[in-house]
Amino acid sequence: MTATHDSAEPAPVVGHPPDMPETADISNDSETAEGKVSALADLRSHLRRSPAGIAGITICSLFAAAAIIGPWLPFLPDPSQQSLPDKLTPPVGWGGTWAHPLGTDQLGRDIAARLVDGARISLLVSVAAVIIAAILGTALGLVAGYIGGRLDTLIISAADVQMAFPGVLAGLILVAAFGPSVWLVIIVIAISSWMVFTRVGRSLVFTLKTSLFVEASELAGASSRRVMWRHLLPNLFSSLITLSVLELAAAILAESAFAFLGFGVQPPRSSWGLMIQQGRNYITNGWWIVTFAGLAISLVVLGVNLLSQWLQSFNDVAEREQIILERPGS
Amino acid sequence: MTESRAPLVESRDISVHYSRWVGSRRRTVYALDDFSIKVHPGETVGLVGESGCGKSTAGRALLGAVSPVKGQVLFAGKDITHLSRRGWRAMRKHVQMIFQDPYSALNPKLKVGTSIAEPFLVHTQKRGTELNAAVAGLLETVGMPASAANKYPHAFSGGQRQRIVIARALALHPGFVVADEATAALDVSIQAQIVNLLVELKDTVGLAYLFISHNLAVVRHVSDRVAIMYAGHLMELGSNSDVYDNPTHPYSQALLSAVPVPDPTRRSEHKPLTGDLPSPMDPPPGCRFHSRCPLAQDRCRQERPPLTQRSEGHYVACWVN
Amino acid sequence: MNSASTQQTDTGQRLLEVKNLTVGFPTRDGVVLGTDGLTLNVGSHERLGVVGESGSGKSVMGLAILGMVLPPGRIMGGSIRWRGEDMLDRSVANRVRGREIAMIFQDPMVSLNPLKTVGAQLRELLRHRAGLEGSAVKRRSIELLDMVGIANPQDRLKSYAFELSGGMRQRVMIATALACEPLLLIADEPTTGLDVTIQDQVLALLHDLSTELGVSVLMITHDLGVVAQFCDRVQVMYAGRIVERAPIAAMFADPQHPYSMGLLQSVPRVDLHRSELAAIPGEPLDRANFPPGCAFEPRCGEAREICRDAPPLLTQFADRRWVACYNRDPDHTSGHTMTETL
Repeated sequence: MTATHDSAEPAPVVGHPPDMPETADISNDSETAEGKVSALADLRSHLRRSPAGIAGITICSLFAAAAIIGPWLPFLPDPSQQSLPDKLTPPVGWGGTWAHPLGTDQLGRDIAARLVDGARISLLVSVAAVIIAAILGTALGLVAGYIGGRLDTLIISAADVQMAFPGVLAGLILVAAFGPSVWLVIIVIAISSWMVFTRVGRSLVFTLKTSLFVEASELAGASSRRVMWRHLLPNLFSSLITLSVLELAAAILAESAFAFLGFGVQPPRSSWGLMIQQGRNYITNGWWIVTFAGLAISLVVLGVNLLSQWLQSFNDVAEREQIILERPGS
Repeated sequence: MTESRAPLVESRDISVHYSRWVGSRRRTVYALDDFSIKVHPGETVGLVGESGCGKSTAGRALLGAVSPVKGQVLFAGKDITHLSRRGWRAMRKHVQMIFQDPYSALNPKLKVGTSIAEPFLVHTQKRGTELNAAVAGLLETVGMPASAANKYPHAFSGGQRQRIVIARALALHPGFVVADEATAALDVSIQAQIVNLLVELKDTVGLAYLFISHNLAVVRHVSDRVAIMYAGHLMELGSNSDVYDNPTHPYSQALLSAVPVPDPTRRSEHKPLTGDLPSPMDPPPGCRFHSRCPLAQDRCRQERPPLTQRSEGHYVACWVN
Repeated sequence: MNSASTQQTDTGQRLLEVKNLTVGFPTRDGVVLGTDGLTLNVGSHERLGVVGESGSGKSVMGLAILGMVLPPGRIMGGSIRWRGEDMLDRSVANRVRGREIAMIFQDPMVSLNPLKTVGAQLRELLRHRAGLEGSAVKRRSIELLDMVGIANPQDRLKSYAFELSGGMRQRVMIATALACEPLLLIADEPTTGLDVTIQDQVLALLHDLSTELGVSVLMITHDLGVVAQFCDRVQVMYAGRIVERAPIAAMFADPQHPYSMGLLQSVPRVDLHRSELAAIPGEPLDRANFPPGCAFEPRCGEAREICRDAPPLLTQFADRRWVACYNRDPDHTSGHTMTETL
């Protein structure tokens, strides 16, 4: 009953079942190779149909590429090189020249170069903060959800307290105690977002731990650590990755906010938040400083959100089709 | 029949009660009451009944997955009712379980081989090629190619997954396996394959089963002895032919006649049992079946009938029949 | 050869005629077909059984008849006629659905509103669909609940679905289905989730009601026992196609298609002891990967060369008996039902 012998319909012919990739039996070496191959193929075919997903991935890739290879780009000047005679040069199109395509700031530094340098800080801080938060938060969520009992009460109360505690205030206190630094910002952002992973991880574990495969593992005599590590964690991955991307957007915004408040990276290094803070004094005679920094923040946050939304929809579709194909309710 | 031999697994008057919140009230659920059964080595005991009759609870109690509030569970003569966590871990080698839903019984993110290898990783020193050989051997035992070990569960159908689940349960050569509705989620043509496999394994591997099912036809096919339960009580226990050819308890009789027989020349003209199954939170006093029993008398409403022997190995709990 | 269109109804007046029904579900990797060129007729006062395993397309068929295939699934070909009218016409389907054809499902919770009492749901239905007003609504509600064997119907009108047991819910669903006095009831695994003694009650109820009210029943089930006890006629489905159709006694006494034969031999029986079950070897096919020939060919002990090339047509070989198998019909020419008749 495939469409193979059905010439009247324009529908594509089904070559092989989607849940049985042709690569299925070639990977003896690595445990997850087969899963990766099929997941990547699925991901690609799903992406082709989603303009928002393509936009998100493009923006995020450009952002990451700028951050990583930016300093080696030949046409960008040194972001901290001052040149007072060139100060507040407008961008190309508003009387500027191609020497400084996006203009210069109040000290004559190239805006484009400073944006790229700022991307480095932005990426470093947000990715590091989210990784720390995800590891810490997921571990606590697993323990709270699986072990339960008093440990659960303790962890979830801590998460609630953290939820209610404003991150900026925590940042202020820590800066007052240790002085401003990039690492401090990473830690502050991490501790103000771990509980998101804990709560989501915990609720996922609650449903997962009633699965028969978890019971089977317990009946086989597996330790709690083994059950959490081998059975629960791998099943949390897809949801937690989507969540991480979402949190990345929040972390980028938080980094900018902290830089704006002067808690994070210090001059002469650049950061988008810092650029806005310094540029706001020149908003009348150098509007481009805040504008481009603000645009960079908005664009990247938009890109990351698009990416996360697309990942979410991919997971949903994958799940739905898996159900249709595997358990055809007769 | 096999009463003379020493039982492998035995429960003596176990009761399992637990409490559950219903709205704002905490209610006790009487899942199982004074349940006694013996399973001998190499024997299949079928446990049948409708939902809420306590059959799954009974199986889980024998595996130590729920603890009884009273009574004893014995394995090879040893009391395992109050075994420590560590003690139970060691017991896991001897007792295993096959589940109803083969779709959720395998971790979707682990290769089939890894799932089957788990008991070895937990309990033995087998690693590397030795482990792979053991996994391949198990897959062969259940009629699957060794190459299945490198695939993920989603590549397999329900019946194949159930074979894999059986392979995992057999890993450490348990003497006793609880099969809880092991074929209920499968299609008829696949159900027959799995039933045949379980019967075959019983002989080749020497397993004893507690075969829990709501499907009376499957139980008739696989069991040496059969126990019929209702609302947490054992109603009738006897050899396969005792129970199926000579059902004595009114509930057993009603249950057997309620099964639609796949033969249009045998359309039954019986009158369906009236009423609903009692709630395990509010079981009727006396004989739990009295509220639906066509033969109920006053005594049935007050006193619980004991399980009495009617012929060699055939026990019935009924005041009337 | 145009077997499908020359087919005769087997009993009484024809109510429902389905021809070459093809339902497809687009996925990322192409269209998966739920049913493939399916043809069936239901006469008045008839109890027709449709047996098949999961993935056979029997539920899709039931939903398609009422125009309830969930998107992205859609009807890709064929016709459905209800008493001569085209059910693929949305206005006809909307008028007929729930009034002349009603449907009940395996899980009553799906079709009962958890936030409304049984009475409120019946009231709404009777007002809007059956056009009753005033005190007639309540009278009819009570009458319906009484008819499906619910004790104290007056009190039960005030109950919510979650307060009822599984068997009671199924009874309420049957009552709502019968509220508009349908001519055909499509019952999709109506007793599958129920306990044996409750299934027995519900089947007896359905049997009595269909006789008393003269409602035809299209019983979709995987349970051969239910079919044997309940139906007058049966058709067996495999992989979206009908492989055999016969009066009930003939099917069980003398099945013709190798799949029907295998199915009958693989069920354990409660009424007799079988030394071994004759299981059908192999696995049901992956829905997206059916061969060009007979879908049962990979599992069939009698498969020949010709079985691999094109699916056999459902052909009549005796009075009221149809089978789709090359080995049962020597002059059978190959071809595909749908392309033949379209």
